[in-house]
Amino acid sequence: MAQSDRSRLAEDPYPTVAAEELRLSEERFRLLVSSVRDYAIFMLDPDGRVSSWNEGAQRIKGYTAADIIGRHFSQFYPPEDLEAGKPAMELEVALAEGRFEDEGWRVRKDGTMFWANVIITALFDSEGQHVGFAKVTRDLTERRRAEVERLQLAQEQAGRAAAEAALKVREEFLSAAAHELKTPITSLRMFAQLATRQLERTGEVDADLVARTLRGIDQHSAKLASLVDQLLDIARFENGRLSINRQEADLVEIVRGVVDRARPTTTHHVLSVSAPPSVPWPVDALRIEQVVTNLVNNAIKYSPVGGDVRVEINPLPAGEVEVAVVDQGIGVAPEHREHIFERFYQVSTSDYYAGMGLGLYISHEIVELHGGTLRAEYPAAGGSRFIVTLPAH
Amino acid sequence: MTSVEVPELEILVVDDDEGIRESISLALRLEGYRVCTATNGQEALDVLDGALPPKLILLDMVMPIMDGWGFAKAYRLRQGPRAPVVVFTAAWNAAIRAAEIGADEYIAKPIDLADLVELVGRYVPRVT
Repeated sequence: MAQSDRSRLAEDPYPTVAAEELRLSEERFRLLVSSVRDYAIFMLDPDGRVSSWNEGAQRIKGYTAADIIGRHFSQFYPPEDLEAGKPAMELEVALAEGRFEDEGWRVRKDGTMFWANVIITALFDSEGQHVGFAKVTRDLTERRRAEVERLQLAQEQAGRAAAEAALKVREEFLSAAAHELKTPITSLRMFAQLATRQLERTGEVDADLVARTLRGIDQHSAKLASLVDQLLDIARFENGRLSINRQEADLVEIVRGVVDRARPTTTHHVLSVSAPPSVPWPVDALRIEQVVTNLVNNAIKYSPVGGDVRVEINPLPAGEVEVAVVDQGIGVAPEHREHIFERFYQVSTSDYYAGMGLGLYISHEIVELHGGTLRAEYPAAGGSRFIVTLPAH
Repeated sequence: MTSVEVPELEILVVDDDEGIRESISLALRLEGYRVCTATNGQEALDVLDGALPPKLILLDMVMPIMDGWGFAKAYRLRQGPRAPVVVFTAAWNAAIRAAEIGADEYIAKPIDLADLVELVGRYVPRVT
């Protein structure tokens, strides 16, 4: 403060100066509040009726001071908030805690809504008497709209990414399926072409070559047919159209049949069955046969140097039966173990487990449709043990 | 199984699929080539061990024990003369697969026999 002001203050009689200063200060404060445009700043009496109004309040809410002073502030609230008793609750909280803050929809004079940040402060005089509330309201509609748009955009982007990922999985699956189908087709074409070439070159094909090529064509068209069946099964799973018809059948007979048919396909594996004489069980015999065939074929395929492939049937005490296919093969690398029953898993890897995906996924689904489980164990000594557990009911 | 008793390797066919091994080796034998087979990369390396290099290796990519990538890597590290490697694959990106392992050429599955005979003829003088 400058020296001249100090001397002026010292010279003037104190009460008059104080009253004038106070009047000036209140006038400046009133001007400040009334001219703020970005905030609605107004006062409520202890009952919630509007007792002052600023330019910001008029701009945001649309009422002039003449329109609104003396009216209850609850008219700024949408019907559902009124029904819930929100205005009264807000004043109660402000009174009890000194302050209440909220964000929500409020209603303008013209009935349109805006998104408001509201702070209500309880006001007390120097004796501690409650004299009303100060209310500061900001219009955050634009900010909220931007936030909602940002959120929607993010959701749309996530949705698009998920759709693209699903499409990619499907494309990769089709590509992997085509890849699988090409292997038997390659053999079929080679057998057919080599016989044709021989015939064209020499005018005849010897009986031995005819026998070999026809056997090859028969074998590999069967493989092709089984791949197509697998693809059809997958389509049926996807549509929920694969149904299981459970009737009592002898599991031992089913398993022995599978093993007997697999025996001629290998020269360097010893296939065996370890089971009680008969285990009648309510199953879809054809589908369970498909599962056991898949597991036995995998056991042979994934033990390329040969060894024992054993199928065990163990009735369990809890009214369940376990069918386990055990091999001494290459097992499954730890990083693939949790994925081998997943649909389409074969497409996500470029290594040799690639071809396993379809059959295991289908087997898993069939066993689940029976109310059972299919899981795999990897003994420390090597190889794999695929275990089907089927309930009696 | 491996025909390790073949005295001089001419063409080595490496594929885990029995049908493909059988049909290709039969077709090439009918063309007058001496062919032996291996079911995976490791078996192929074993066949090549201690023998003169064949005139051509036909290599599948996706196989158990040791795949085509593994074989190509191990084979490149070998001392002495090496045979040209032609990749045969059902992958749509056969050219990329072949380039990945530094193969000399590729042939896409399903294989056309006339194409195969033409390709083999370029690498291996016909035995008549």
